[in-house]
Amino acid sequence: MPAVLALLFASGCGGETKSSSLNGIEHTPVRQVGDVKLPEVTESDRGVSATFKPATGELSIVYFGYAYCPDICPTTFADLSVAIRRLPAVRRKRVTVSFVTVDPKRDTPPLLRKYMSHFFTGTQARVFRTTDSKKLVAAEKAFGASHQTGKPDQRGGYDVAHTTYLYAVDDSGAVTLQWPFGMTSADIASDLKILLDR
Amino acid sequence: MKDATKSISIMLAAAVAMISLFAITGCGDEVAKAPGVQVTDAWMRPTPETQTTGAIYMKISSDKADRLVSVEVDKSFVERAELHETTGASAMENAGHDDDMMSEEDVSAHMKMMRKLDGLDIPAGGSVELKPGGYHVMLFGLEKPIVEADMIPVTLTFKSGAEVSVNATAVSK
Repeated sequence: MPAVLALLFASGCGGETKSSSLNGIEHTPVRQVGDVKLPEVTESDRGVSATFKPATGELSIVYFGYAYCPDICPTTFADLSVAIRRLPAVRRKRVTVSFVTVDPKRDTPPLLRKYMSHFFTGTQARVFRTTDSKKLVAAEKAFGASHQTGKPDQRGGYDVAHTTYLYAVDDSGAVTLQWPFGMTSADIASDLKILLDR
Repeated sequence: MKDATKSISIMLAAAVAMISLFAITGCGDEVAKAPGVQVTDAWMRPTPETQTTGAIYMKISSDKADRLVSVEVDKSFVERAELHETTGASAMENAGHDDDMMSEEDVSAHMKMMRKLDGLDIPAGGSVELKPGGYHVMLFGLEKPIVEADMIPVTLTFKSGAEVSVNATAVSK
């Protein structure tokens, strides 16, 4: 049914559509990211190659950002955190948040794990980090994401421009929905319920 | 004569109080009012303990056209503060986006970046909101993580010469 609705709203040979009941965007053609692998930061801060594909019946919410970011990333994670907490406990357990750093130089493994624990308590949180820029760019490309590291200022500080979507990956490895920056936690929560009930 | 003296004293006291109200800096959630410019709802998010940067948001209104020209936060809280804007890159080549049919809204949701601003115009009889995803006071080198209910005083200087100090309060939103 959602596929039929998506077709009705589609604007041509490719594009982003909105199903009447979902607030997020369904990209067409659907992006397949099941084979994308990046080193995941483990408890011992080691990187172990892993995919974003969640377990059967679960959802993985993927975001590309960086911990030094003062505005967009904390806002996005605060809103997502509220959205997930709006779900009943049974549904909440089926959601994992995956953060991919676009600033591996400053975002060290222990820093990233602490960063995630600030926003997501009681929710599974995974962190992905690679210093191999080719691998990072390839992973971004699969999602339609990108970043650009800015020039350091006189103090050595720099910003990173980056795309700001949250991507919902289902157990088939497809990006089933994506939310642009500014989507309210209420709208994300509503979409999460629909996706988890499918 | 006594009554007249008393009345004058009361009036003087009232006048002093009124002048003080204009000069006094705000505390807690109170608004520091300077002639023409009002700053309200200054807030920020609690930060992860690893984060050394932060963002303060607020609403600035003015009856006369004015321009915010500098922001300052005491060195006991941060290394420095700057006025920034988060802005979307428009019509940018975006790897992976193979769509031709993208709405303007979607394009603006692509790569976001920040830039330092020299100032911010406040329209006459209008207001400008510093909010997530837009204008903000960026904090560099936080001395310690911001926790719920923390307060950080911010001093804003305007082209008109007005100087307004407010306390930004940390809230989880």
